[in-house]
Amino acid sequence: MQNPYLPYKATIKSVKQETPDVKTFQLEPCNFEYMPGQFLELSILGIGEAPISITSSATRKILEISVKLMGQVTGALHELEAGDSVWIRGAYGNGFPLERFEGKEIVFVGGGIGLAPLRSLINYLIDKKNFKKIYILYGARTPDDLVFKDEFDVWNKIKNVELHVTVDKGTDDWKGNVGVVGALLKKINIAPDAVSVVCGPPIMIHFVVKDLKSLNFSDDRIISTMERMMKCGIGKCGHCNIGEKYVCIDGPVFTLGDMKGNREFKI
Amino acid sequence: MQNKIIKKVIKKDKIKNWINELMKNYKVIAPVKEGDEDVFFRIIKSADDVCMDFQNTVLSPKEFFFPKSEKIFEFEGDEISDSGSKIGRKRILFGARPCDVHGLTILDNVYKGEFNDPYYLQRRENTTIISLACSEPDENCFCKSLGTGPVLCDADIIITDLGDRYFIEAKTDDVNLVNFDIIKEAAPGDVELKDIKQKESEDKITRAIELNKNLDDLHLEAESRKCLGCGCCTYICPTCTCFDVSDESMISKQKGKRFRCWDSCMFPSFALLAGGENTREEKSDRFKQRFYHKFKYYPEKYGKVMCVGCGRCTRKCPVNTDVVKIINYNKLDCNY
Repeated sequence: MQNPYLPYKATIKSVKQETPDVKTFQLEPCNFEYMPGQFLELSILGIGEAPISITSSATRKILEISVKLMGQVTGALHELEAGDSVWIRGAYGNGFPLERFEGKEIVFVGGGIGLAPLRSLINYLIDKKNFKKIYILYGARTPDDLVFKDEFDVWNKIKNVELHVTVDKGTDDWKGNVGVVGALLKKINIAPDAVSVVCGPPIMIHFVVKDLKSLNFSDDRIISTMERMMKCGIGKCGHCNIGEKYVCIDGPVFTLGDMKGNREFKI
Repeated sequence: MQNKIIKKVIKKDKIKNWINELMKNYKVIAPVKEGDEDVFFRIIKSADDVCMDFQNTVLSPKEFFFPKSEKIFEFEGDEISDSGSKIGRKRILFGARPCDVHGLTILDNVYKGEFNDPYYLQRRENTTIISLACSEPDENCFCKSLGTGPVLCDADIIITDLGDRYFIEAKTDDVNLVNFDIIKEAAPGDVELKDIKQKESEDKITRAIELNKNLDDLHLEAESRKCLGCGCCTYICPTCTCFDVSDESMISKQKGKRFRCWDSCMFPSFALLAGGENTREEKSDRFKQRFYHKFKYYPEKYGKVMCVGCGRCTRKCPVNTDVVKIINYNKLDCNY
C-alpha cells in the first residue's frame, strides 16, 4: 500500500531573501506535479513538517516556495542554503478553480506574504494567456516587507496586467501609495463579471471582502485561501477542520459562498 | 454464498481450548483483567489470561489499529526508512463488544478515502474480529439507538452467552476459525435460546440518543463551563481519530524518527497557528467542536453519527458531562 505520509527528498537550488523575514526557495526535483493554489508539506527532519503554499507556476517548470519565518519548521528552513536538502510531499489541496478565470477580468488582492499563493495563479494565467485583464493590488506593512519586488516590473510590462502597490507606512524614499490595500480598488475600473482572489492576514481579508461587497462582487466571485493549523495534509488528522470542511482536502481555496453558513467561519 | 452464516456452539469450559487453537496461527488480542476489576485488551501470551466476564473494557480496542503513538519513519543523516507500516502476523481480535466493532467501521471511513492511511488499513485487513455479545449492558449504554445493539455488529464472528455455552455465528469466510472438534453444530434450541438472550439483553438498554437533532450553541456554551478540558472523553472514545505528528531527534538532529500520537480537539493547542492565532481560543469553541464533529459534520459526510453509544465518555468524565443529555436536551427543559 502506498504510504502518503512519506516525504521525498528535494534539494534547495537557490535561496532569495525577499524581505527581512521572507525567503524564496527554489526546490528540485521540479517534476513535482502541482496546480496554482495547492500546497506542499515541507519537512525538516528532526524538526517537523508544515504546510507551505506553492508560489511558482508549473508552467515554468520550477518549484518555488516563499516562506515567512514564523515557527520551528520555517525557522529551520531559513537556516538552510542552496545545496541543502529538505523533504516534501504533495501537492495537496483543491487549488484555484481555473475555469472561473477564463476570458475574465481578475482582481488579485494580496497582503504581505499572502501574495505567495496568488503569484502561482498570476504567472499561470499570464503563461496560459486566457484572461481579459489582470489587476494585482498588493499591500505590505512597509516597503521593506514587499515580496517579489523584482517581478513588479515584469508584470507591469505585460499587456493587460496592471499592478498597484501600497504600504501601510512609507519611508522617506517611498514614492508609491500609502494606505490599506483595499483603497487600491478605487484606482481601477472593474468589469461587472470580474472575479476576485484575496489572500493575506485575517484582518486584511475582513476589510477587503467588505470593499468587494460594496463593489457588488457576488459571494461566488470572491475567492480566498484559508489557513488553519494542519498536520497530515490529507484529511486524517483533524486539525484543519473548519465547520464541516477540511482546509487540506476541501480547500485551501474557497469562495465566500462556500464558507457562508459555516459556523466556524468568521470574517 | 459468501454471507451465509454458520451457527455453532461451544461449551464454556472449552473456550480456552478454542483460543489456544487460534493462537497457533494468529496473534490474539483479547480482554485481560488487570487489578480487581479493570479489563483491557492485550496481546495474550496464554489463553488463561482471557477474561470473558466483564461489562466493557476501559479502553476500546481502537489502539490496536490506531495506536496511541506510532512511528511513521526513521531517519539518519539524509536518508529516511519507512519502518512504520510493516505487515505483521495475522491477528484475531477476540471479545470486542459490538459497540467497539461499530467504532472501527466509523474509523474506516476516515482512514480510507482519496488518501489511504496504510498503518490503520493494513492492521484492519490483517485482523479478524470475534465479537462477544453483551449480556449485561451498563446503565450508560445507548448503542441500540445508533444502529447496532448488544449483539448486532459487523464482526466476522459473534459469540453470545447462552449460560453454560456460547452460541457462535461465523461468516463462511471464517469457517476455518470454528472448525474444531470442541465446536459443535448448533441445535434448533440453541438458535431459539440465542434469540431470547439477545432480546433480553436488548431490553436492558433503556437509554437512547436522539438523532438528527439540531445542536443548540447556547446550551453547549453553558455545558462547556464545567468542562475541565482534560480530553478524557476523546482519549477513551472508540471513534475519535485525531492525531498530532512530531519529530524526535538526537541533539545532533542527525538521527531520529517521526511519529504520530493521539491528539484531542479539547486541547488549546489543537488549532493554534504558527503565527500565534488560535482559531478555537475559547474552551467553549473546543467543547462545541467535539459535539458538532460527532453529531453534525461526520453524519453529513458519511451518513451516520460518529458515536457508538458505548457510554465511556459519560462514565469517565470527571465533571459528569453526559453526551446523551447534551444531545437530547430540549430547550423547554432549561432556564436559559
